Amino acid sequence: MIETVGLTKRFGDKLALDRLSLAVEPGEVMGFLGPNGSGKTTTIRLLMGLLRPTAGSARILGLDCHADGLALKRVVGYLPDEPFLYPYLSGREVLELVAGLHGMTGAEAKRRAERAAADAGLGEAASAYTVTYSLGMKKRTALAMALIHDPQVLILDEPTNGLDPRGAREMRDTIARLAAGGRTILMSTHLLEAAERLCRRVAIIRAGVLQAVGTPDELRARFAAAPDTSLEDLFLHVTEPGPS
Amino acid sequence: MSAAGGSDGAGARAVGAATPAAIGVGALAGLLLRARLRSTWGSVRARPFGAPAVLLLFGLASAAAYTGLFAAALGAIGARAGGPQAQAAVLGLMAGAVALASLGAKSSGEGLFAGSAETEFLLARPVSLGRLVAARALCAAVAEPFGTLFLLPLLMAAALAWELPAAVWLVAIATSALAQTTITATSQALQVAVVRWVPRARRTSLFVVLRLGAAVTMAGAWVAATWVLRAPAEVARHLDELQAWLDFTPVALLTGPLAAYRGPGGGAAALRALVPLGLVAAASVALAVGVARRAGLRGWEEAGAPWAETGATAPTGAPLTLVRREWRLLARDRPRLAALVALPLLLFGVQVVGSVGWSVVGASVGRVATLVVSIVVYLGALGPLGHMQHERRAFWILRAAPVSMGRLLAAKARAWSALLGGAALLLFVPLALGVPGASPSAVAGGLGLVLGAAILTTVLAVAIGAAAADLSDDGQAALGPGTVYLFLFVAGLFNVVVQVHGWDRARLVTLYTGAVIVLWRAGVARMGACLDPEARAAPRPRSTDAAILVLIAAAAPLALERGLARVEISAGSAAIAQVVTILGLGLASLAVLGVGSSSSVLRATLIGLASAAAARVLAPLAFGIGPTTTFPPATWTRPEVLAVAALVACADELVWRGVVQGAFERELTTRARGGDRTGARWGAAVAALLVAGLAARPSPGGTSTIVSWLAVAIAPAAARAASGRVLAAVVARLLLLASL
Repeated sequence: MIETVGLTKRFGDKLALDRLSLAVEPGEVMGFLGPNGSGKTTTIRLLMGLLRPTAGSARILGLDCHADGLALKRVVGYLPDEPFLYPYLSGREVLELVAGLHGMTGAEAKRRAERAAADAGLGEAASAYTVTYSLGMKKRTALAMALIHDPQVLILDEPTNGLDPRGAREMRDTIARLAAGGRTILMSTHLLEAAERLCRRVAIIRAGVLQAVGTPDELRARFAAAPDTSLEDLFLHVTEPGPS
Repeated sequence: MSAAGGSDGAGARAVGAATPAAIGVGALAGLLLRARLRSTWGSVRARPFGAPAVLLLFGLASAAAYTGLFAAALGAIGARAGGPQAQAAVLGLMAGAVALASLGAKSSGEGLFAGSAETEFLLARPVSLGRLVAARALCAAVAEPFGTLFLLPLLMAAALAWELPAAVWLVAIATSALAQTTITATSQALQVAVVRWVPRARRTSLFVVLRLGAAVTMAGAWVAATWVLRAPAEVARHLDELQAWLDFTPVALLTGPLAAYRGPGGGAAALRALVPLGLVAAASVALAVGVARRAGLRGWEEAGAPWAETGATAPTGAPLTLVRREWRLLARDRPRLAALVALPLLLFGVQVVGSVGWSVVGASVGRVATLVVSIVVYLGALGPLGHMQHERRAFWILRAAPVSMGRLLAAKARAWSALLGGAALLLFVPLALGVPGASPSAVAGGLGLVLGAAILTTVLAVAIGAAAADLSDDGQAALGPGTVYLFLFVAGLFNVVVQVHGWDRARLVTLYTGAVIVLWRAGVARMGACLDPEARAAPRPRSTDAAILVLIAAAAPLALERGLARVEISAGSAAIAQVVTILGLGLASLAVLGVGSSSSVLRATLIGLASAAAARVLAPLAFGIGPTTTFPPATWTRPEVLAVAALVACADELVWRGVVQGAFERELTTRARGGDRTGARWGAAVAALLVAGLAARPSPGGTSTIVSWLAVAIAPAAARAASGRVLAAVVARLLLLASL
């Protein structure tokens, strides 16, 4: 479903991502974990075709993330880490715009936008300019944008980052619902508890290099950790600074 | 909060004795000054050839140019209109206009808004608003020596025109510093008052009005300056009434010290004349501090900040499409919309009543078309050129949607060409109909040209804006000043299309359209990768380099010829100007190409030699050029003329074989199946020759000149194609030149 082979990205002298090979199965929710600056957002941007790989390839549903960019975006939804919106468009207008970009006609775009705004719980705020939105509302609007075309695959970059506890809980519940609906989800996050609860497998990356991938139990076994070792302890162990 | 809030010192008294005293105004001004100077120096050091360094150099060069120009104008006015009195009146007019424009610009600026990062940073420290305002006013005395609009160079120009000793420059510097302090303090007082006492709902509108006022005062300064420079004799005729009017204004404070220095009192009189200005500066700082203390931070923290718009809801309308999105975003950005409507009108007013005058502008339909095209170009710079700057961090929405970049750019071009075309129509039709004796066919033809210009300008602006966009770094503007100047230059060349006729117009339109297509394709490609910081490193020469150089090479000689004819310059000087233009293009090409490797120099030289020899042998057979053929004029036997001819030939080769043929080679090699470099090279040679032929001006020699041009151009093109090096082309061209 999602597959990277030797995916590498270099920014000048800095190697941001080093030969990442990873596969996410259909219907799977995979957590993508790593410290700040480890290459998570770079990977996600490569998957969305926003960056061109220096080497290697990335494919989603068999589509090359760079060469088949347009076709890919019809079947993938994307939630960026910092979802900036047009400040002087309302949430509803942005949703209508995105629906239009996905080829929906005027009436259909309006209907989808209304439904997405309602699903996202924007309420009256859907008519307000997005400049007035809190971060939580911006994230919910951006998630509604990612879902407006009913994609098979979702790529979520730090979906709970910056949200208050209630907002984070609501976002987690929404992701759980989406996962239960059979969507394939790749989600980067710092919230390890949420990752353990939501994701079947996790991939841990450090300094651009994939350190480990598997279910939490598999990782515990691989790193000879006790069965009650938390994912947080495991994560800290795997990403401990030192030679990769 | 109290220390940063309304009353000075209150916070300091409330806390314990161990708390350090609040920073004084002088110390704060020193800190701000050091930070600003270090920041400027750091930006120049970090990027010695980057935008900050270029802007700094441009500012210094402009200031020097203004000094020279105004010194010359003042000298001319003094000679024609009774000497120093008249000069003092003109100096007063200019200094007053500049000071007023500076005040208008600063009052409507965003430096004091809460949205400004520096203001937020400073007000988060134990610094009161009153002290910040006073410190900024003092800092301006040193940090802005040239003033927003070059007040100091103006005073320097007067000192030069009056042949005063160098010591008087100190008087000029002191005058400028006090004026800057006064202007900065007054503008801050105005802004603080607006933020504190104008209701939030009306504040944005008021700042829009302030900006329009600033634009009007800027235009006034421009009109005054161009009037003085363009028609010093006419200015001199109005000096009596001007002087009487100026006596009722505060401009005497600005001109008084220099005028006093010229009198019998000398330096002491100048110092005495500085005292009133110093008092005014002190009073304005006191006013600003007083207003700031009274206002406190109430209302301040949300002035200009986006969250001040809380509660604003969008009116309902039709679902957004890509085109409607552009219009709706523009309609809701009131300051931008106001600038887009007002500035072209101001430019129009400046042209008609100021620098050129209606008698010149309205002399023919062609001139009206030129004016309208110029305004359309400015509109292009204000509107569609900045499209990626306005996308900025929200661009991910479009980038993550299944829409091709070409379709996205086309929607932008459609949206903006309707606006620019509409503006061109509204400006052109009434003006063209007002031209005495204008025929309907001339008006219709002119309308076609300006509408074509509006569409091409829009497409060009959208393409250049996309090609320059780099959204990978949030801290950097998507659009630099270099891109704006490049656009203004390239788009402005369309005025040459308007002014020429017949074959010249046809070939320029063809080249212009071709260049726009090339730039469009580059824009589409770049836009798709604008979030990737590594995507900019495309190798040179690029097709965009070639397109721009071709346009300049084709249009600049025509523009130069027409411009120089208007100022009745001698034929020799005109020829020198043309040669300098070609050499300039050669240098630009050299900068694009860089110095190639030295690995195959011998091979390239030999190929160049062989190409030249083959051309010399084959020319009589292919083109009928005899072995004794020489190119006129006979003065080419002189060594200095030959040296210049050789330099021109080298420059020509760098442009056509270096950049243009090189760019075609790169493009064709990329497209060639299996990387057929040989086929691509020869294809590039033919394509570059065709473009060069289109760009070359038809000369009186007719067919024989074309044959000679071909004979001279084919050999270097073949040499480049055979060797892959521009060096071979240069060698072939020089040898051919020597043999002919």
